[in-house]
Amino acid sequence: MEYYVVVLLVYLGTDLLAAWGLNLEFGVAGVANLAFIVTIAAGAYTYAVCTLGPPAAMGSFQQYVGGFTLPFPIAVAAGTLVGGVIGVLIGVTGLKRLRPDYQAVAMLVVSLMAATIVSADTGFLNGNAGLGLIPAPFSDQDPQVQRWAYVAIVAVCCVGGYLVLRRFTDGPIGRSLRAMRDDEYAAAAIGKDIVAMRLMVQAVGGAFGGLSGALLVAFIGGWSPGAWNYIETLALLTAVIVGGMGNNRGVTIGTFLIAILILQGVQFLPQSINEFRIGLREDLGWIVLGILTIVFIWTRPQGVIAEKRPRYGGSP
Amino acid sequence: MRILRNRLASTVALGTALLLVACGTSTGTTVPTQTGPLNLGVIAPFTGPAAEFGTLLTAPCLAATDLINAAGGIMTHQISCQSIDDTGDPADAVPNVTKAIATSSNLDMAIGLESNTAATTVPIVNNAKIPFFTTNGLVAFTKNNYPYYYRMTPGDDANGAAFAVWAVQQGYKKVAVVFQNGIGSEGNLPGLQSAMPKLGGNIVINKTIPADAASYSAEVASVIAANPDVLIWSADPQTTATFMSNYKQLNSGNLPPMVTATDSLTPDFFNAVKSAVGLDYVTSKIWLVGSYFDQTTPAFNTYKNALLADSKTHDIAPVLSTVGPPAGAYDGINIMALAMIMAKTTVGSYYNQYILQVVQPKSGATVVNNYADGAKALAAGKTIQYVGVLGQPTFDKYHNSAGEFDANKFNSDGSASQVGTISGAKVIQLLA
Amino acid sequence: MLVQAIEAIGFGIATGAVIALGAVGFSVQFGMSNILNITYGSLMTLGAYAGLFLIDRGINAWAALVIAGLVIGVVSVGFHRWLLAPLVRRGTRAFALVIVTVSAGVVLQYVIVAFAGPDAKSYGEQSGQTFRFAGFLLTASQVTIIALTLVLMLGLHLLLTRTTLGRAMRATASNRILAQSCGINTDLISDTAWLLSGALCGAAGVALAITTVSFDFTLGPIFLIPMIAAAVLGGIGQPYGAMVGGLVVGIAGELAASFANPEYSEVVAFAILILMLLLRPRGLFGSASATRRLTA
Repeated sequence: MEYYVVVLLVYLGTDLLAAWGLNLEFGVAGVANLAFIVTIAAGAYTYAVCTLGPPAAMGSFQQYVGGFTLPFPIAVAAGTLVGGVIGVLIGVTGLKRLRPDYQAVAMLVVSLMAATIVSADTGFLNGNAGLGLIPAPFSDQDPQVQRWAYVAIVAVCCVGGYLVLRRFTDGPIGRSLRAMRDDEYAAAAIGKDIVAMRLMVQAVGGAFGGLSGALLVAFIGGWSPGAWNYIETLALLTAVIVGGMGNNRGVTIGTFLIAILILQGVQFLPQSINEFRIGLREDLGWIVLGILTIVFIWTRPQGVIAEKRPRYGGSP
Repeated sequence: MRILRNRLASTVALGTALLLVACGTSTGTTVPTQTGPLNLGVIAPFTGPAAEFGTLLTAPCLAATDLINAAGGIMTHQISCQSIDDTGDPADAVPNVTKAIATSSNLDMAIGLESNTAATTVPIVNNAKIPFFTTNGLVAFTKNNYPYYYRMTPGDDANGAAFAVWAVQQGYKKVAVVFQNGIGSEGNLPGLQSAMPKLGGNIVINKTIPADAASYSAEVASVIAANPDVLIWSADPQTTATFMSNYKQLNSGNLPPMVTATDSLTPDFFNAVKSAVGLDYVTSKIWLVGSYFDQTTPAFNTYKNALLADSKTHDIAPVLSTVGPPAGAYDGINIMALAMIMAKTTVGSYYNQYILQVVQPKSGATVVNNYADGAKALAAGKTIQYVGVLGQPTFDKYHNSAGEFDANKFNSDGSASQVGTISGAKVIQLLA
Repeated sequence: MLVQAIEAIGFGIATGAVIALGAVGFSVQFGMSNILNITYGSLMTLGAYAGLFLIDRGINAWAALVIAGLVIGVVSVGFHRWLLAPLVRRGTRAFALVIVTVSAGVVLQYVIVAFAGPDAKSYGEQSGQTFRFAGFLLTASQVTIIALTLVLMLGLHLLLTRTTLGRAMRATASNRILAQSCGINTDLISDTAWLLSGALCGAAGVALAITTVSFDFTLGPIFLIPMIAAAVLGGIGQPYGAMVGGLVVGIAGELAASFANPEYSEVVAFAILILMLLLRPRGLFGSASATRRLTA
C-alpha cells in the first residue's frame, strides 16, 4: 500500500511538472504545441543514455547511443537541458505565422514523425523495444528509504520548478506572454519581440517536459515509444483545460483531478464486470474517463479555476 | 569462556532445531498463512492497440482456476483471475500494477507481463515478491537476476533462428524476410540473420514494414521482384491480411509459402488471413514455428476441456488451446499452485523456492500432468514431477525454459497440428 | 526503376483516394465549424463496423458504404447539435472543444469494443480482377474507390459552387453573422454541412475497411492524422485541395516505401506537409483570409 502511495506521489509530481510546462506554452503564451510529449520523451531518453553503461558492457541486448554511466543529478540536468533544446527545435518548425489550428496539426504531425523515427532506427534508442534496466538513485539504500527519498527529490523539483515557473507566468514576462497570446499584432506593435518570446517559452516549457521525463524514467526504470504516443499530449492538455488553462493553481488541480483521481479511480471498478465479457471492466474505465471529462468541460467550460483577467482601475 | 560460549551456542542451535522440527511436523505454524480467497493477477493489455492479448492471457487463467477450484482450491483457498490492465504503455502500466498489488488481498501469483511493458512491470512484481510466469520474448531477459521471474516461452532471438532452421530444412534457399516494425517481430531478426548464413541459406530481401498501413503494394512489389522461395514473416493479423491480399493481387494470385511464429497461432490471425486470401492458403502454405507442443497428451486434453467448459472461453477454445504462450501460462499457474502446497503456504516469498522443485525430474517421483492429480499426490505424502501442456520444462539458472521447437500447420477450423520438430539445442548453438 | 516508380505512383493513387475521401469530409467539417474534430477518427471506425453489420447480413459492400455513410452523417449531425454547438454557445474555448472531441472519440471507441470486442474483423476476401494499364497495377476495389472519390469530389465541388445551398454554406463558413443577416438559416446550413461531412466520414470508414481487408477498433484513429495532414496540405475548406492533399500523401508514401525504408513512408508525407506550411501557410488552395483564428 505504501508503495502505491509513493507511485501516486511520484506520478503526480512528474505530471505537474509536465502540465506546468504545457500550460506555460499553451495557456499563457498561446503556443499550440501538440508535440509536447516529445520533450518529455527527450528528457527520459537522455536520462537513460546518460546513466546506462555502454551497450556492449551491458550484454549488448539493447542498442543505443551514449551510455555514459553518469550519476543521477547530472543525468537529470542533461535531460532537462535536452528537453529545452528539443522544445526550441519544435518551436522553430512552428515559427511561421500559421493559424493556431494549422500549427496544432503541424505539431501533431511532428510528434508522430519523432515517434516513427525512434521506432524505425533500432540502433538509436533501441527502437520499439525501448530501454530497460535504467538505474535509479539510492539503489544501495534500504528500499523504503530509497522510495521516500525519491518522493522528496520529486517534491523538491516541483517546488523549485514552481518558483521558476512563476517568474514566467506572473510579472512582466507573464504579461508580455499573455499579450502575445491575446493579440500578437498589437504586442508586436508596441515593440515586443514575438519570435524571441515564443522560442523562450518553448525552451522553458520544453525544459519542464524534459525534467518531468527524466524524473519519471529514473523511477520506473524503462521507456519505449509505447509510452509517448501523440495522444499523451492530448491527455496532458485535458488536465490543463479541465483545471483551468492559463493559471497555475487551476492546472495543478486539474492534473490531480484527471491524472490521479479519475484515471486511478476507474481502476477500482469491480472485477465482477469481467464476468460478462473479458476486458469489459477496462473498456468501461476509459468510457467513464471520457464522459467525466466531457461533463467537467460542459459544466465549467472555463475550468475549475478560471484565469483571472486583469482589471485596471476605473470601470468594473 | 570461548568454549562455554560455543557450548551455549550449539545448545541453543540444537534446541532451536528441535523446536522447528517439532513445529514443522505438527501444524506448519512456522510459515505465514493467509485467509480468504486468492487472487491471480493477469497483467496484460486489455485496452489500447494490443488489446487482444488480454483475452488471450485471461483464457488460460480461467481454465487453470476453474480446475483448481473444482479440485477444492489450494489448501481450501478458492482462487480467481484478476485483470490488471497494462494498456500496452510501460509508463501507464506502473500505477495500475502497483495499485493492484496494494489493494488486492492475497495476490500471490501473476502471469502475463508481456513484451510491451515488461521493462517496467517485471521489476515491480519481482520486488513485491510475487512469483510470476511471463510470456514476453524479450532478449533482455535471457540473462536476468529476478528471483521471482519464470519464463517458459523461448526468447525472440531463438525463435528467429528456429525460423531459419525450418526454412532450410524444407529445402528453401532464397528467403524473403518481412517483419513488422514492432517489439515482438523486431526481436526475431537478429537470431534469423545470425543463423541463416550458417545454414547455407540466402536472405534475398529484408524489409521492415510499418504496422496497419492502408496498403503495402510498394513493399509487395519489391518482394516479388526479388523472387523468393519462401517468406519468413512476422506481423499482427491486420497487417498480415493487408499485405498478403496485396501480394495475391499483384502476383496473379500466387502466394509464396510462409514461415511465421506460433505467436500467430491465434483466432485473430487465422480469421484475418483466411478472410483475406482464402482458407486453402492458410491451411496448406503457412508454417508456424515455436515452442514444442504435443497435442496428444492427457495434459493437453485436460487444458482444452477446461477451456471448452468455461462459457467465456468456449468459442475460442479449439484454436486457443493450440497456442504456446497461453499454454505456458496455464502450466505456470499449476506449477505455482503445487509449489504452494509443497511450501504449506500461499505467500510468495515462502513458496518461490519450491517452484523449480515441482518440475525437477527425480527418481521415485509421481509424474502428474494436472493440478488435481498433483494435489492428491502431495496430500498422500508423495514427491511429484509436473509435466504439463508444454512438456517437461528445463529451466536454466535464469529461470528460462526454452525447450524444443516444432512446426505446425493450421487446420480448417483454426486449430493447429504439428508437422515437424526442430532441435532446441541446434537453435541455441546457432545463436552463439 | 522507372517501372517501379510508375507502379508506386499507381499504388499511391489508390491509397491516396481513400485518404482523400476522409480528408474531404474532414476539410468540409473543419472549414464550416472551425473545430478540430478528433472524434472524426472514431466515427470512421463506427462507419466501418456499421458496414460490417450490414455485410454480415448479406448486403453488398458498396451498398453498405452508402448506408453506413448516411448513418454516420446522421450521427454527426446529432453530435454537433447536442454536444458541440451547445458548448460553443456556452463560451467554451477552442482547445477545450478539441479535448471534448478527443474524449468523445475515446468513449465511442470503447463502446464499440464493449459490443464488438477487440479482435480483428473483416469484410471477406477481395474478389475481382487486377487491372494493368499505363504502368499501373490496380485491383477492381481500388479502381471503384478511386472512381467513387472522384465522383464525390465533383459532386461536392458542383454543390458548393453552382447551387444556392452551396453558396449559403460557403457564406456561413466565411462569416456566420453576415450570412444570418442575409436571411440564411445558418443552423440548417450547419446541420447540412455536418450531414455531408459525416456521410463522407462513414463512407471513408467503409472504404478503409475494404482497402485494409482486416481491421479493428483502432482503424479510424490510425488514419485520422494522415487525413488531417492531407486536408491541411490542400487548404482547409477546399474539397479539391483535400483531394490533391490525399494524393500527395498517398503517392509520397508509396514512393518512399518502394525506394527507401518502408517504415518511413508516413514520415515522408508529413515532411512534405511541414515544408508546405513553412512555404505556403494557407495550404495549396487555401484562401488568403487570416480573419478566422482559433483563439486558445
